[in-house]
Amino acid sequence: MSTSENRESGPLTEVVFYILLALHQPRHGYGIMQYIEEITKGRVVMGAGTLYGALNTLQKKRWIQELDDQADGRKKEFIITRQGRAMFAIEVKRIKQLLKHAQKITA
Amino acid sequence: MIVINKQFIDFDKEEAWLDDMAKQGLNLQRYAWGKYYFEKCEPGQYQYKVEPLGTNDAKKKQEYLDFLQQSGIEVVMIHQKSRMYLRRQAADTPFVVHTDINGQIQRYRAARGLWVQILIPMAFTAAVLAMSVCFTLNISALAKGIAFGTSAVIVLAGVAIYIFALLLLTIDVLRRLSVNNAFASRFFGASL
Repeated sequence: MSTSENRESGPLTEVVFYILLALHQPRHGYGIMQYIEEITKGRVVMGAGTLYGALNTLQKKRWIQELDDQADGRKKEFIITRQGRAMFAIEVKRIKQLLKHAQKITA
Repeated sequence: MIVINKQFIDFDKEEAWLDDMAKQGLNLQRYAWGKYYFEKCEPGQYQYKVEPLGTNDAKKKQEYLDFLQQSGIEVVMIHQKSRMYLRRQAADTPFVVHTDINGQIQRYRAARGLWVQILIPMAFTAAVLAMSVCFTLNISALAKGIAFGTSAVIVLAGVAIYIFALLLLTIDVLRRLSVNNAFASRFFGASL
């Protein structure tokens, strides 16, 4: 599934940003969707097909990984990797800068 | 069990119809070659979705199906290893599986009618074959010329129809996704 999430660097898409955020703790697919919908109060809604594609892409990039100990066997859980955390940190820094620049002019 | 014969070449229309049936208390159980098998149930229980499967790899396919099921989506059935009928408990929000634009495009592309995917290339191949056969037949030059000319016209018409059909489908997809021009040029580039 080729998506714009394939980019190696540059700003993260909102979908990728929220998936990485959600995976700072172990979650399965449905849990990720629920979490994102909840914290964005329904503004960011992700379809299961889209999430599936994005999780695959992020796994290939090694930003997230499947959890080794699959407790109930069937529901796959994911967690962010060290590399994923690093990419996420870079993005947060970028967003902070955006905010700072915006506030300088408008606040 | 109620069986209805119907043909769709459009996922969206098919879904709307299935949702409509569900609202009347008829839930899709099975589909096979233009036959829809419904079961009488409580009205408005499910929302339906028709999706391409996207991959031929058996393991990946199963993984995707598992993922959908874990997300509260029920796989009603898979038709011809390529198209699946999904449903979930009815909710206030629309039932969307692909919220990203690329996923939506892939879905529409997969929904291209059989006639574009198979029939037109088939007719094209047949006409090319006819053209080559013309030269091996033991007939007069005039007859060869006529046969060749006819085949050539069919081939050209086939190509024209094929391109026209792709164009129509592309425009249709763009209209549905109501995306901007920059995106349109990208999509045209990719599809034609």
